[in-house]
Amino acid sequence: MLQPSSLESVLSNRRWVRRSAPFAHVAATGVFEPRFYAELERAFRELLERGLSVAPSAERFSQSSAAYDAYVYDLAKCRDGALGIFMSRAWHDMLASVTGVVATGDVGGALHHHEPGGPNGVIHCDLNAAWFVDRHDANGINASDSSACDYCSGKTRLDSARPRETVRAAAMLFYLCNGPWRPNDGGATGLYARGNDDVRRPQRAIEPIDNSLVAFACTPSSFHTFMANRTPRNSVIMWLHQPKEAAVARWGARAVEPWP
Amino acid sequence: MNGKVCLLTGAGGLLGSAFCARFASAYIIAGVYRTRVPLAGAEGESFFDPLDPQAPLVENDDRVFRINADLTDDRDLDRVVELVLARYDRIDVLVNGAARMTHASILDAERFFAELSAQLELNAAVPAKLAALIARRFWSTRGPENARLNRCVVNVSSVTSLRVHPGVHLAAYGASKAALNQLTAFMADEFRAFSVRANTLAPTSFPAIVAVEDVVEAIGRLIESDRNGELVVLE
Repeated sequence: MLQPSSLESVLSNRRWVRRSAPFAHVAATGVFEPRFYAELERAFRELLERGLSVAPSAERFSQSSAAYDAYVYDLAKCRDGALGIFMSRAWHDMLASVTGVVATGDVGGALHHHEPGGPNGVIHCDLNAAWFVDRHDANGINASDSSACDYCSGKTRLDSARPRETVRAAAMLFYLCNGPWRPNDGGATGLYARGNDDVRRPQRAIEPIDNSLVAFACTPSSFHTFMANRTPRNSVIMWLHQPKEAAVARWGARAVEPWP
Repeated sequence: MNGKVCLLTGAGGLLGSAFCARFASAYIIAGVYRTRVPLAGAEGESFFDPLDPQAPLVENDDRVFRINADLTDDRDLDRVVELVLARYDRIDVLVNGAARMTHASILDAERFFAELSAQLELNAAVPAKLAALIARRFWSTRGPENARLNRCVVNVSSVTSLRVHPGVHLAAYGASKAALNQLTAFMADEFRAFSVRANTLAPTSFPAIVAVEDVVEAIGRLIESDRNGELVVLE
């Protein structure tokens, strides 16, 4: 597992940008040193080369629901390789720090692959409930485990499991394995001022440029979505979490968005 | 106002953003971009170190004057030069970093020759047009001042202008950058009359082979050097 000193050795760009519009977010390009980024690409491609599955699969990228066209692979299964950096304590703490959230150590995430021709998504804010069973590692990181309970509903698959409800605190998208990107390729992450904005006209579009990221605290106004893509689009998406009580105290119970 | 006024094209790209991050505290940068907004200090933005977010950074003391323009439109070229001269009364450095690179096989004739025209325009003609505009409007009558302030042009080329990388279908890109090399060499010869230097930097692939920061440092060294008419390879 990577320690903070390891983050210093693999981070390349130490000048990230914090922006206030259309909502508070941070962005960075050239995030990792080239050699480490190449390891991330290699790990991602090895999984992708196993092929895509429309039916749920533990071994391959698969579609998690008919309502979402992306193929996903559970980030928690990538803890031993380079991609494990996103599940490390150091990364968790850094992400919490730069997004200004107090996080619980609960981490959920996935590798995402969009085939060309994906449509625009629905604008949403990610302030959703998320359920965890306590199985922290030695560093206090508790990865979402669908074999123990459903992330969205808390429905248990084990009699002994005691699901605990949290709310998403911060989101991060890291782009990789996309190759040279041109504006017509699409696949950007659109950021919006309002939930009813025209999805085709974000106030800011974060381009899926390799080795770059965007991250933000999940709030009732962190409106964003996937924009239609014409070339394959790949990313790592992860969330940190906060106690439900903290989210309700800050935003109100009705601000926590129900799952579609 | 202290610091050189640097007009940078391609300010929204990887290289341009890294240049702004590195030199915004040393130079007064006017950054031209078309589609990608520069990742550089501007209103509503600030830099921070992800491993020490509260630490003050000198980069936040400075801001980049961002100009959205289509450099393949001659009217926008005029506008860019006018805007920078109106705001700062001078241009000391021109860094031509904007580029178009598309893989296309020569055998794919329709696409290739459209790309060849587009890349020759943005990668070779536009840097020369912009330098010529600034020379005609400002530099050509200020020889002693140019020499004293060590004014210069840095054109960012590529090692693809010097050799063939088999199988990558970069003929249009390589040809356009080779044209840029030679245009810069002749520019250096002509601009010597009014003491403005012009050099070419030809880096290999970044950030894959060399770090973008190394390319930025190499540009900085050319700006501060007394070299003229040279092609510097970075690999």
